[in-house]
Amino acid sequence: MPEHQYFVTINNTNKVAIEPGVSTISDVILVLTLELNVAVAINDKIVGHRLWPTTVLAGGEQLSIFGAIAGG
Amino acid sequence: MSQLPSDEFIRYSRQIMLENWNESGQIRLSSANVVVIGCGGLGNIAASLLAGAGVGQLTLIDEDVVELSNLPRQLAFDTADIENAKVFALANRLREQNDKLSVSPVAERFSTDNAQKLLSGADLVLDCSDNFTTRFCINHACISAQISLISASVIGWQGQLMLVAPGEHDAGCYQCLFQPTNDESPSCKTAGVSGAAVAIVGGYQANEAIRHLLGHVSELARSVMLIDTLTLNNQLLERTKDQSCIICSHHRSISHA
Repeated sequence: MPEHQYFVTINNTNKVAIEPGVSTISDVILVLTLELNVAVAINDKIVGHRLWPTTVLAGGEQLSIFGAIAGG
Repeated sequence: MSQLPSDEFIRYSRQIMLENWNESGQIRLSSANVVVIGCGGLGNIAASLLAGAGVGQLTLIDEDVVELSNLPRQLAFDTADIENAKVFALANRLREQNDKLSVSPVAERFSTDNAQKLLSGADLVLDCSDNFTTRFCINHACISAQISLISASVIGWQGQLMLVAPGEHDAGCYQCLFQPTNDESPSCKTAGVSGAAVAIVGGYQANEAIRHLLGHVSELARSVMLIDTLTLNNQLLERTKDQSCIICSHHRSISHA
């Protein structure tokens, strides 16, 4: 991996490259082509949908992304 | 001198001896009224554990009938119950389990039309339903009525669990976490489910209900628990209120209402 690249870790497994100080949660969701009915936590704290476009990532964060499930 | 009748004291003795339970907690359970919405896998497990623990009154809500494919995980039903209404089959089973229990079966779909009537007098609601429309409706109804809600869901090997308590205003509600969509959600019917995973998640839900009724402070009132019964990895994520949430942003804590 080139040294100048920055990543966030998704669900403790996959890494997604980001541009630190520029990329937002919305960008990550877009890259992953996820449905909007998911929740996102940074370092175990949920970030509400409304804040996704303005929450800028620095690199190195642990993102937890999970979809709602409805089964009973 | 025990305040409970001797047969009840003996019946519940193993839990009364717990430090955080005590006889006073048992009396509190016996006067509690819990509404269980959805009588599939989670509802079967949770309602059975609450009935066994001595919760005084249960209201069971579900419009479905028992199907053959339910039997591996809906343990209160057997083959003779197939095509019978789930709420009546479950109510009968729970009465056999605990003759002190008052149980009210309601063979209806929970909706905005009947929500106020069905939640009247409830101390706690358990969401054990199987679709998003009902889940968002339950959340809205509980916020409006300022009743605590324990929402559990399960599919495959995974579960999710959270407590929406009126006193935890800053943690928000179910709709602060998930946005309503028109998408068809995967169901146990389409995506499959492990019966043992259902029992684990339903057990967690019942445990949380009992702790809540006993007055314990719970981390789940401020977080959502992701349960993975395949990897055995559970995760607690801290929730936060969406200040623009159309459901809960106008409600303050129940203690300030």
